[in-house]
Amino acid sequence: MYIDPNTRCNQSTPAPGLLELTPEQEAVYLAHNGFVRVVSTDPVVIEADTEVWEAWKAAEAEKPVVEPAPTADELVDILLGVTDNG
Amino acid sequence: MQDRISTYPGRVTLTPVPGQSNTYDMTRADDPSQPGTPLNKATFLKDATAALYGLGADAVPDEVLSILSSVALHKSSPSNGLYDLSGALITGLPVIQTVTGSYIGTGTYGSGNPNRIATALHPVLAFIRPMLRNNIYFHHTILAKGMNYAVSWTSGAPRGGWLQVEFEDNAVSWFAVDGTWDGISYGTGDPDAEDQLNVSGRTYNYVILGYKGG
Repeated sequence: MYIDPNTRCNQSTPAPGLLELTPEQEAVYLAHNGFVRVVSTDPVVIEADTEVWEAWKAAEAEKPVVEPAPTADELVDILLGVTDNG
Repeated sequence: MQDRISTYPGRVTLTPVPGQSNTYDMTRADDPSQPGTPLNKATFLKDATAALYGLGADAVPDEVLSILSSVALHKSSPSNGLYDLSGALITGLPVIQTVTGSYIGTGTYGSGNPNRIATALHPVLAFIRPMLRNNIYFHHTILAKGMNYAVSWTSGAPRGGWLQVEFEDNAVSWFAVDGTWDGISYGTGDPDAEDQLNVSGRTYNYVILGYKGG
C-alpha cells in the first residue's frame, strides 16, 4: 500500500511523491481510519495521529446512526419472508 | 471506380480534317459494354475535397497526398506506435494509457477528507467500484476531467450521492457533498462514506485513463 503524505489517501499503484508502507504500518494506518502522521519519509516512519482520530470518531458518534444496508443474501431473505425460525 | 470494357480494345476511327494534310479527328470506336469512370478532374480531386485541405481549385492530387503523409500510418509499422510514411516513429503525440489498482476505504468523507488517487499519467477518466459486489447498495462512480461534479450510485440504493471532483495534472480527487445548489436540495441527504466510496475497510478498484507527456 502507498499513501500520500499530504492527504493520507492510500492506493495500490505507485506514483511520484507517495510513500510505501510495510504491512505493519498498513495495519496501523487502517486501524486509525487513515489518521496517521508521517514522522520520516526515508526510511518511512508513521505513527497514529491519535488526537485527530479521536476527535473524528467523537464527531462521527454524534451523527445519527444509519441502519447498515442488508447484504444481497439478506435482501433475498427479506423479499422471500425468510426468518431465523425458518 | 469502373474500368472501361471494350468490345474492340484500342479501335478508333480517323476522319481527315478537310483542307489540312496529315491531320485527322480521332474517335473511339471500341464499342464499350461499360464506358467506365471518366478520367477527369472531378474523378481525381474535386474542388470541394481540395478545399477540405485548404487547397484551391487548381490543386492536384499529389498536394493532398503530401498533406496526408504527415498523419497517415505507415503500412509496415515495426511495432506499436504511430509512424509516418517513411517509417519513422512519430513522437510527442499523447497516447492514452491506463492504470488499474485499488485502495482501501478509511471511513472518512467530506471536503476535509477527500479521496485522491495519484498517478504518473495526466488523468482524464476514472472508473471506481467496490471490489466485491456482495451488497447491492455499494456505490460506484465514473469521474471525467472537465466535469466538476459526479454522482456515485448503485443499482439498489434508494438514493445516490453527489461528488465534487477535481482533476489535477497527476491525480484525481473527490469528496461527497450534500447535493444542495442555490439553496435547493436535490434530495440526496447527508453525505457519507458510502457516497464518497470510502467505507472503512472496503476495497475499491479503480481504472484510470490518462496520457503521458504533453
